[in-house]
Amino acid sequence: MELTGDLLRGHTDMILLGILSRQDSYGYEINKKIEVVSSGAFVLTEATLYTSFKRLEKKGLVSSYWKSSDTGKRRKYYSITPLGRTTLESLEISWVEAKQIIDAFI
Amino acid sequence: MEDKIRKYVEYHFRFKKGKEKDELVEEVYTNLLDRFNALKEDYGDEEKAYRETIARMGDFSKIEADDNPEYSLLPRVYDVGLIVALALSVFGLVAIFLHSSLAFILTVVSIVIFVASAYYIYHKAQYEKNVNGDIDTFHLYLDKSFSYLKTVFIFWALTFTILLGLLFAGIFTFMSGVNNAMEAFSSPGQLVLAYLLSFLVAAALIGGLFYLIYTKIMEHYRYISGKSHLEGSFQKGLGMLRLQRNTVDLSKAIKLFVPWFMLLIVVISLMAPMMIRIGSIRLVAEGPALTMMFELIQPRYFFSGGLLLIAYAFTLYSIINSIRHEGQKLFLVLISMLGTSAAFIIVDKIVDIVSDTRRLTYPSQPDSLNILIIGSIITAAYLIFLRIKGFSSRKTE
Repeated sequence: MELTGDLLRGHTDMILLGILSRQDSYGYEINKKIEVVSSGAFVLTEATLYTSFKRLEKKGLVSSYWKSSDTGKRRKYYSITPLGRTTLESLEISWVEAKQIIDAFI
Repeated sequence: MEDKIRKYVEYHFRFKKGKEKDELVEEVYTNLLDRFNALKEDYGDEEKAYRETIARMGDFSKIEADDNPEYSLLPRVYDVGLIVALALSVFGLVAIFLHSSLAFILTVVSIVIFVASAYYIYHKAQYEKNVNGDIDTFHLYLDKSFSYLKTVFIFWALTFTILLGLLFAGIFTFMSGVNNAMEAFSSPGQLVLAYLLSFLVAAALIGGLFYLIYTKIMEHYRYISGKSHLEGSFQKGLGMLRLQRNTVDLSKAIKLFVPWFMLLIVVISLMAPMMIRIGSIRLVAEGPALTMMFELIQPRYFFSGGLLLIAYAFTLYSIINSIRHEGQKLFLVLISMLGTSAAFIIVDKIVDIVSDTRRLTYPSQPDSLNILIIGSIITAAYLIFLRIKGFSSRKTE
């Protein structure tokens, strides 16, 4: 399971873009989803998440906005940009290719 | 618990400033709060949930280092400029013993670099305040440029004082119509007095001038910063260029610097010429004081060279002792240097009597005696300065 986590870490960007491609979301929600889907193998710290988002935003792959919840709390939401979508597509293609090559060896 | 989390996050990002900080704090806080609530439900234990929440925060240090000027890994140009100006001002002072022109040039270059750097920082500070509305950075830059002021001013003032003093002494000589400074005076005592007077006048003039300028500038600082007092110095500057903020023990550093400086002066005075003329024959041609001393250890001169030797030995001993005791016993150094100067004058007199000449001549270049006297003046001034500052400088062990 630990090895899995390490393997996944290299693909954080792709995972985040993938999540955002379905719907806009905020930090905790995204983190929780990753945790649940990976059954606890992949846990991101607040710092890692924040740096990833900052990086993605700088590259223009995501954008952010503030939204107030019903409880009055302000949360920072991220949404994927068109550039982000195209990048995600190429990442997906690379991923499938890589998977095929590795599968051929093992 | 909400407050506790919020306080923790705010503290964690305390070095960030402005809008970016608020948004970062808000984002991290809400996410952590959500996690905390979820964990609280899972564990049923608030404390445990809180600890794990904080643990999941991770390492923000790379972000923290990003745009905080104090944590910048590379020194900015103006930081380097200020430090270089400071270093040059110190070298300028020391260079006096090599060549007065060199000292003057180094000091002038130091002034130019300092003014350029300080001016740049000052305007950067104003920019931060007026354009970005960032008062914290404004204060940071302002303090940076003004805190060096006191230190460089002191070194510049010292250098110019000595140069001006030498100039005045030179004028004395010129007005007497002779080439050789020593022939202008009928006794070594008068010579010493003339030099001392020149230096005192120079000190008053230069000291007064620099003090006036300094007060005017600090008035302006107080006006724009709203602060009534500013901690000067070396210490802050050194700390800024480092990654960790270790503070240098300033008083210790300065106290250690002075004895080494005095050692340099004494060694130079040993190498400097000491010329004694006997009648129309020179005893030895312009030899360094070191060799002259041994020449004078003869029965004919009542072994007076031995007196000088002992005086020098004691001076060196007191300086080394001071270095070993980290700048203590500087008063003893002062006494021993004055004692050696006095020994010079005594030896002088003895040789004078023995050889039955009315006058003694010295070379007009700075010679051993002059160097020792100047060194003593500097040590004395420094001790007085320490006293005023209220550091403990002990007279005896």
